[in-house]
Amino acid sequence: MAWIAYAAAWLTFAVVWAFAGAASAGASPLATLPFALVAMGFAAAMGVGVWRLTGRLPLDGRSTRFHVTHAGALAAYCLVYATSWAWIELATGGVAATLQALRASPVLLWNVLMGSWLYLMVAGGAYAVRAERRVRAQEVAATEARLQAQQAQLAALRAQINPHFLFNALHSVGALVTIDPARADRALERLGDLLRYALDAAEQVPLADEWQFTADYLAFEELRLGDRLRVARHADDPALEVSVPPLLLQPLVENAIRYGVADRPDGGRIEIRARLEGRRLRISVADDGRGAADSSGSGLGLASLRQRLQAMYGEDATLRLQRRDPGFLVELDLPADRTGTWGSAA
Amino acid sequence: MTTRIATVTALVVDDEPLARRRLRDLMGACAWLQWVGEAATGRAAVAAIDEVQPDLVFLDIRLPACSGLDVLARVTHRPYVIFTTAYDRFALTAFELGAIDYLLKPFGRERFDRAMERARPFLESRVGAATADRARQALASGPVPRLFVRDGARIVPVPLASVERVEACDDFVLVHAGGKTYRLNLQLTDLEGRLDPRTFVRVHRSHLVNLDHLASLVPYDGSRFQLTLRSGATIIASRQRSRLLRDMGR
Repeated sequence: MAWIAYAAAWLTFAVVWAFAGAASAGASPLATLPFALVAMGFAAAMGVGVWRLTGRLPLDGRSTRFHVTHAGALAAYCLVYATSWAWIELATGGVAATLQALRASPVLLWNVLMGSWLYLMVAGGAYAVRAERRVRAQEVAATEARLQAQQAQLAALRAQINPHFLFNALHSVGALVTIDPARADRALERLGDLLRYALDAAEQVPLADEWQFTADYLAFEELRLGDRLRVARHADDPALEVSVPPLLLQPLVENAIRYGVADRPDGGRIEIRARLEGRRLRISVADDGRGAADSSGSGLGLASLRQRLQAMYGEDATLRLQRRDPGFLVELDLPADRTGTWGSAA
Repeated sequence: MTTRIATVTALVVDDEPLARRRLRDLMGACAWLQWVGEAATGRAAVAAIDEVQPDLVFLDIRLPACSGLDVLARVTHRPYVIFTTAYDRFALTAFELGAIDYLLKPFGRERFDRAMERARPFLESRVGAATADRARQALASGPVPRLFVRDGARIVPVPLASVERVEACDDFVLVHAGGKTYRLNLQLTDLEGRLDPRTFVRVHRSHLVNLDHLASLVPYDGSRFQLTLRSGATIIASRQRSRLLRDMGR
């Protein structure tokens, strides 16, 4: 593509040049066109060499080698360009006419100036294109680095299983071993599922997976908190099919339990809803507690969730926190028709 | 020779029903322990402790609305306390500093029995009364005024002025004080964080020294100092720490 554009530019220039020459000499453009085409053909072909040269010779005004090499190349370029029309003269007018024309020094001098100008244009353009390409490559590298950093952050997040939850869950299972071995057995399987999901979830999961993970998590909180924890959950079937980043829902629920239930002697009630509204997925988690001082979103869980949403969806996703009386409502609003772009650089 | 042990009465405080059940089950297999009640909240715990007056309380630190420590601050009866907790590094450090017994969740028969063996002599000599004060002091933030260490069947306070140096050993530390050595199950860095940095100075990766016990500081080689304490013990400071010591002397 780049070469076709290069050839087209030279062709256009040759035609313009032919008309300009014809106008100034009072001749027909048809007469000047062959000369212009041959001259610009030489200039264009040598331009390819100039392009290669700029690749080997970085732009550096303080380097003697840079100046000397370009001065030599420019001299050669000018010489070939300035004599290029002689080949046509030779083909059409014979040797004698050619020699005569070559002796017409004003034309030769004029061609040397023109050749220099062309050389400088080509070399300057080549350096500009190379600089632009380098900047773009750097941008791509920077984007890739950013994506890698985000992936590392996600990995760290997955490793961040609340130790308090984990140790308490293990203690609950230990208690069940003697009281109800069958239940202990099931609880262990669930705990295994929880850990596996937290450690290995794909970069995008259907909300249904998140829903199940949260159910497993809630089973342990119910085991731990007994009837102090009351949960109501509802999700539309279409909402469950939406692709979302993993570990999106559970931190919201954990937060609600921590401040809305676990801290209260009589416990509390949590309501989890997910629904599809047009092309938006809306998830809400509400509790009926007092709402803790740091449930304003500065809490570790919510803050990191906010960061992940920002990285994935930009301004297209919102996490809203609202104090109600009583309790706290967290609402998550995401595009339902977009898979995220963790690491999938174009 | 067999010693007949009087029955020890115990009360369980935990907001999780399964955790309470677990302790009751474990206690059931221990002949000299008798379960006398349980409480799920801090308020209920205060009432139960004062009413039942148990010898021993298993107390969860994290309770809804009011912490295990708040419970101790409010009761008039002074039982011996074993704290239970799932994960709380700061609390564990504090418990070691205050020679307070604790059980880390998840715990089972083995760890429970070991804790009970350790607590038994204290329970027999009825030394519970001071637990609350020690716990409060240790769990407060900032430098601790003294260490409490277990010495056989006693818990003895060790004034920090008598501590000449602390040495790291694997995952515990040895406190050298008044010609005796005591063991604390914590990391040197954790202990360092609870001591006055103007008095206790880290001279080496594994050594904290009380500068008030320093007898002399002489150059050891080009870049290190040798510290001699009044007890005669000598320690060679690390290169990096030697530089800091030199700067302190200026």
